[in-house]
Amino acid sequence: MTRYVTTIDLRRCVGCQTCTAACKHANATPPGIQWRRVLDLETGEFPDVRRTFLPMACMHCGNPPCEEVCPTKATTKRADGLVAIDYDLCIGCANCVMACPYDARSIVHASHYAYGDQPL
Amino acid sequence: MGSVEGVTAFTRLVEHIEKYSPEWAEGICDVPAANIRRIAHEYLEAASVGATTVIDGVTLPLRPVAVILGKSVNNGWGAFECCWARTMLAVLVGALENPGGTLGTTVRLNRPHDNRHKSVLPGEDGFMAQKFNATDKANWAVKPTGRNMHKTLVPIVGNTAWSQALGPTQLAWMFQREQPAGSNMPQPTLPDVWFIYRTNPAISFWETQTLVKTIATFPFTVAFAYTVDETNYMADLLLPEATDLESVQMIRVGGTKFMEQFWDHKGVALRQPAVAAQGDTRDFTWITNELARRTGLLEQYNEAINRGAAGVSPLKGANYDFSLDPKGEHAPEVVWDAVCRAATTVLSEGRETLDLSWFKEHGFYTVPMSRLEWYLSPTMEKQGLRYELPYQERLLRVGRELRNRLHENKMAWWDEQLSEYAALPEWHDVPGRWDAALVNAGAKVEDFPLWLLASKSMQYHAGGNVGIELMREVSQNIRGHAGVIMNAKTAARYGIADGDRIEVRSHIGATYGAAVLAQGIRPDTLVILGQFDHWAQPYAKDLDMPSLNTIAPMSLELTDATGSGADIVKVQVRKIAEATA
Repeated sequence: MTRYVTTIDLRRCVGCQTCTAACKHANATPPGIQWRRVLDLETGEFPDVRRTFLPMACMHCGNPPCEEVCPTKATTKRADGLVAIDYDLCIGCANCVMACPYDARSIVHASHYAYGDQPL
Repeated sequence: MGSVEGVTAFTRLVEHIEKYSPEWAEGICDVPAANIRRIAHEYLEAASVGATTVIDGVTLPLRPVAVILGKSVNNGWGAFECCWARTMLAVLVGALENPGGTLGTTVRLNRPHDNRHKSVLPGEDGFMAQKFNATDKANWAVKPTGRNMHKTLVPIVGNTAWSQALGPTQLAWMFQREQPAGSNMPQPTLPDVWFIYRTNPAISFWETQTLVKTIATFPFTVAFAYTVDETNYMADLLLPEATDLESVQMIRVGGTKFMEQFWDHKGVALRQPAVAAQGDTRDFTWITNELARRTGLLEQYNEAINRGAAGVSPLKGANYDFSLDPKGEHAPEVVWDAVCRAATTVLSEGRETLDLSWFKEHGFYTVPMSRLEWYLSPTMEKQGLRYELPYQERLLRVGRELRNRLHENKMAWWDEQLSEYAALPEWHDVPGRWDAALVNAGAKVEDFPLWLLASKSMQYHAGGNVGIELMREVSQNIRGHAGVIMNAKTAARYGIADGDRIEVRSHIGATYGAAVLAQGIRPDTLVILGQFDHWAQPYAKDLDMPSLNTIAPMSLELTDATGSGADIVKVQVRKIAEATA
């Protein structure tokens, strides 16, 4: 069976955040929720400084920590390699948010809208 | 005939550049000479001189090396030298307009505007013909033909629709306020009717307060608008326009500018309503139709569309005719149907003709584009032409002619700018120009020890996305979008911590924002991303972002030969409040 993995070429990322915006747009995530963000990291001291852009998203880990801590099996590693969430089983415990090493999991407790208190 | 001895342009370059050694540069730019040498060798090694690649059966040099210029060094004083040096480096290793190397923009100064390869025509001296504005005595435009004076003062930008955007736009604003001392140019008039389409100059020029005051004096302003902004706030007539997701328009895709220049296909795409138009808005074409009809310009308007003003192709060609009756009124869908048919007929070279209903179903139409179209060098070779660098004799000559014309008319106020017309550029003290401007404005240089620069933002570009909440959110992932970027050690010296609210003050005003501390910035420099100054546009007005434009002056002495200033101003900084939790 085909098994999917995520790969990122860090040499080519320029930190444009277009993947972040595209993911938010495609999945209509609420304000503040980014399933894919690109970190802007700086190391060193002037004048020897290096800047690195690091895309952070679900890496569909081989042994996903989020799966291990999920008490209801809402998070599972599928046979094709993808880590999937069954929203009907999720009880909102946020264990996965704490367990994920990539800061890729999030939880929404209340509705937030982009412009004001109501949807446009 | 006597003989004339000469030296090659390359010899001239070697002699010219000899005095500009890495050791000389080290004393000016703070970069150690050893680093400059190391990077030069890395550049040369990366160029892989001698390597080739084959594209569609044609062998081309492969030169995977380029220097990319950041903003603030490619406009205003110093930009000429930077751009010359960047291009010269490409020329030296054969990387200009070849695979892997520096490729020019497809924004074309020379016609035809839709194909830069066709704009390459031989000049009289073995170089590509350039349509400079005339500087000879018989043809120089002593009387400016527009408020930006590009035909009179800026020969290198030519005289096309693009010309004034390539620098001298600020002259139009600056000379509204005051004429240079000793000027005998006619006082620019106010525009009888000023049209604004999807642009917001009230926030995007230097010295925004002055600009806003000038706009407020315009007798009649018409603005296309889908939300209020700082410029259309002052409009006498608002034409509510449907957004791109609510209206019909055909646009070129592939082979255009920026990254689309490097696609493997080119063609057209139909933008069509995804949702019904909101409120009392109208499709852009409906608005322009009505404007043409009500102002009695319908015939000229239709003829412009027939010439191709609305799409990729004229509506009439050698073997097709979809042209509109010039005297008739045509609904937007009729106009775009004709554009769809003409575009597909031309793109397919007559193989097929597709109408608006086809595009509504399929969205876009493309044809293959050879990668050879990405590079200009093969076209230059076919024409037997050479690139002009390193020795720009034409530039030198044009500058001397312009000087003569101006002096004949007793105008010496453009003399500093004329210094940029050089065959081989000399170094000059660019920062010193800002210090001199401060002194001339009655300020003390020591009171403004820091440089403030503005830089474009990938998320906001020049500010067009700033009213979109999603872009605001993702921009926060990139350093600097929360305020003013500042060197951490410099900040410590001023008692400023990350997130503290600071005042950045120049000799003409102040702007405020949060300090964003970083290491990757010179200790004497601050940077603000994007263009802000929003006080009217919904959402954007509440972001409380600092803006360089508020505090950067617009002045003749800080204007280069292209008529452009730079996003640079000397400032002082102080903390005004602790960071809020």
